[in-house]
Amino acid sequence: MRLPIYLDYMSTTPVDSAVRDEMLRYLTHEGHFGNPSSRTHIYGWYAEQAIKLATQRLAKLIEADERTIIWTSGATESINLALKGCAWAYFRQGNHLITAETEHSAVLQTCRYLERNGYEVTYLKPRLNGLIDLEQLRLAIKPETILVSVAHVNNEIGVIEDIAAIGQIVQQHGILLHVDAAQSLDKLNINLQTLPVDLMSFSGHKVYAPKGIGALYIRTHLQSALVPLIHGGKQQHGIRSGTLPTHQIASMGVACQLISQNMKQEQSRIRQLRDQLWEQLQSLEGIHLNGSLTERVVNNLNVSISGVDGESLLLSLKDLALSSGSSCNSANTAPSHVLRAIGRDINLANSTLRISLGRLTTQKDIDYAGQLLIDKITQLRKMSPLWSYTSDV
Amino acid sequence: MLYNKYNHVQYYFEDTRHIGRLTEPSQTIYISRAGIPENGEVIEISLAVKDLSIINAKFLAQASPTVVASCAWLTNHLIGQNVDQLGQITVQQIIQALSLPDHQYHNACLAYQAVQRLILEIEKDGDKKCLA
Repeated sequence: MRLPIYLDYMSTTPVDSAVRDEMLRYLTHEGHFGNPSSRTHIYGWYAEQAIKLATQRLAKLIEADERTIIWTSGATESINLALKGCAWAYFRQGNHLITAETEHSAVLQTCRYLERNGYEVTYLKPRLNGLIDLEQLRLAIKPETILVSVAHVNNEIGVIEDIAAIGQIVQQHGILLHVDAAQSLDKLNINLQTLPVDLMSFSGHKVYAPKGIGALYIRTHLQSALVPLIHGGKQQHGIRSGTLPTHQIASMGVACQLISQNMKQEQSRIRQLRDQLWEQLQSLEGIHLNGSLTERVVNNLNVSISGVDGESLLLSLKDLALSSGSSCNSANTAPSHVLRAIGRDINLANSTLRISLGRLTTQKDIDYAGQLLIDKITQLRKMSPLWSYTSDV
Repeated sequence: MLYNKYNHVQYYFEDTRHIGRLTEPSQTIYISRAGIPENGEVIEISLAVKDLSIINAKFLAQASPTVVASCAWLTNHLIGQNVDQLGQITVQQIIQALSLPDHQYHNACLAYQAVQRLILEIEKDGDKKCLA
């Protein structure tokens, strides 16, 4: 067992060794280091072939046509391209977008940018279980609405949105739907043949590929309309210019292949460990699960703990690597916007742990983590003048 | 990470020697609280005093690591001192003891506030002057 135990897989994942091996094949002189846009020699052809294979692997995983995949530097860029690209492309049709208060900063901050540039954004307040109220979504749609953006899986509380139902409403009104799937690619079956989704963002480092690679699925009919963010050598049909990073793309392709092969067994193993940890934590009073337990990815627990200070709890848990909310906001001591949106009071929001399991989490890790959590929470409560004081401190 | 090699917060945060509440009926005990329960941040310091000397000190805290560390340092520092030395405790002293950065000034204030309330309690009780 390696301490601290890594339980922050929703923040990032380690690169799988098979993914690393693939990546190394495209870096050095001995490997296929060529520019995939070089059509005049074999170095370029090999690189192009690697890109094609990786694209096929991702396309197969999400049941989409390979021509719909655009490689980016990560989910943040994909989201920016989807939202700004559509907003700029369709500004004659309307200037209104809809998203949720619980979205990732990449969506929220892009929306804020669009607001400063003449667009109007409606932020849907989620229900207490963290999920969007479909009736509220229906009511928020206006004639000027051009796009709805929702996360497939919330990055803090792990709840799963019903994309099919949202897509149906959006489609009825002739609006575009963008789905942030950064957290769901390796956890949920995604079938873009049947899901009414127009754009979907993916991240490599959440699925055991390296940081700095991501993708955007763009439905074919949208591709000519979308306004690019990055202009240059017209790679990827001019939608996202820039020399393709063969090693990054090839590695994400292998990561996708591993997901296709192992998702079912892996998710079932992780669910067992997560459920065991949740059961253990429930032996304590004052533990509140944030978000729906049923509509939730199998690797996430997000719990607010009464009677402890969140920062003190994290410092006590030095043997565990976990976060108090979204790691993208961990430098920010303000309470999580997601927890506030689902109605948690500030004190509970401030004493929250996001525990996320992954491919390398073992039974021993969970046994150790469960006991440590119980011990440290009990210890901190014993020193709290607010929690029922026991004289045996 | 907020707690690093440049300050002593983690050291004192993990020092559990003085955690608790003094209750021995044979001793004169003074207790003070500071903080705002509604904000989830409260500390309590209790002192056992004999012949104007602080013979024991304990604390309870539901607060950030810096506040917990302030209480741990303070209780350790107070044991063996005379009550009239309580008035000499300053916020700056706590900040220096923990090597706190400027932006954590307010955290040291909470422990200081508890000391000021202890002084009032002691003065009220025995007409003793704690301010040096």
